[in-house]
Amino acid sequence: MEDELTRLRKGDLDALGGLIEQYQTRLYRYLLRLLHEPATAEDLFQQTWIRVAEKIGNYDPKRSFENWLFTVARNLAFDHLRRYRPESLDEPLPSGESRLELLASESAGALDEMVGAERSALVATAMEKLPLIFREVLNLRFEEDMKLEEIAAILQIPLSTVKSRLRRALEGMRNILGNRLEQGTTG
Amino acid sequence: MNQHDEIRALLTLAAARALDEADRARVEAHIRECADCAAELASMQRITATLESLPAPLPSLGLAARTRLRVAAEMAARTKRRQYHLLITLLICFGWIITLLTLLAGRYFADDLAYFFNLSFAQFAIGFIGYTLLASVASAAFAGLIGPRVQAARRMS
Repeated sequence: MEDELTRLRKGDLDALGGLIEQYQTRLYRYLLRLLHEPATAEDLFQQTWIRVAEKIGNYDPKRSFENWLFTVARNLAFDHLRRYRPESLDEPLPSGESRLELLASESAGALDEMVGAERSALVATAMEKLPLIFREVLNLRFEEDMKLEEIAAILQIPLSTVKSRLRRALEGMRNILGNRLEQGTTG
Repeated sequence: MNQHDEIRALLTLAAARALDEADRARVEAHIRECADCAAELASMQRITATLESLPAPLPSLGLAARTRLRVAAEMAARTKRRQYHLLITLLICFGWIITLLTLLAGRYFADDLAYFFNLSFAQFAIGFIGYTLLASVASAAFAGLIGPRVQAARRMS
């Protein structure tokens, strides 16, 4: 990969092909978790690589390329959401109640909407109901298997905030799932 | 906050394997003796284990190839736009240089030129105004010609 990065930094766009292939599944999954819509995720996936091609000169080779790539994708996704779906950025509701608290209080109703009895379907559905800032932490920690320090670097937030988001995200998952996961396991 | 409550607050991060060594050891020691916390941790671990094994959603076929093509097209369009911008900058500079030279020439040679071509002041003034108007119209025509192409290139990006 270092060879491809060096070539790309020298302006050889052909080197991008290998990098796109390498990160295709992970980057697409990350964007899909943030945006929900496959078509939008694919568009942002393409825009991410355009931005990489443009800004590769700004990339510091001492840093992890993966972290930089995910940061670029995240910034584009947030710009998109700010422009087209600002309500999805999880600001506190006018009542002062956070969306997560609202979800927790509505968890019984949310459960009724879930389809399928399989664990992964239950968990994926529950995850989709979480606010974006919690979804992305769950994705980076458990699906991308990143360390908390790496997540902090990508999200550009302190490590303590990553821990707090992770804790609240898992608590939110449990509130939404209730005891369905246990039932799914035993039933 | 007693020790039980302290450990309880750590269980979520323990399930996420996000505790440091010291806290992890405290949690492990506590759950050996506390059935409630052990059950709570097990419940959280069922969620984290499932999150770790979620099937990856696959992008549509050919996404990588389409992305390569789009990046190449975008970078080519940007290069073209940069060339247009450079060309326009050069032309503007050229226009200013010609204007300044004309003013200088007018200042130093106006009398000689008027005398050489046997022009009255009014004829010379009309000629100079005509020249300026022609230059302005030519610039506007050029901008009209180039502008839409620049905008089209911008829209492609």
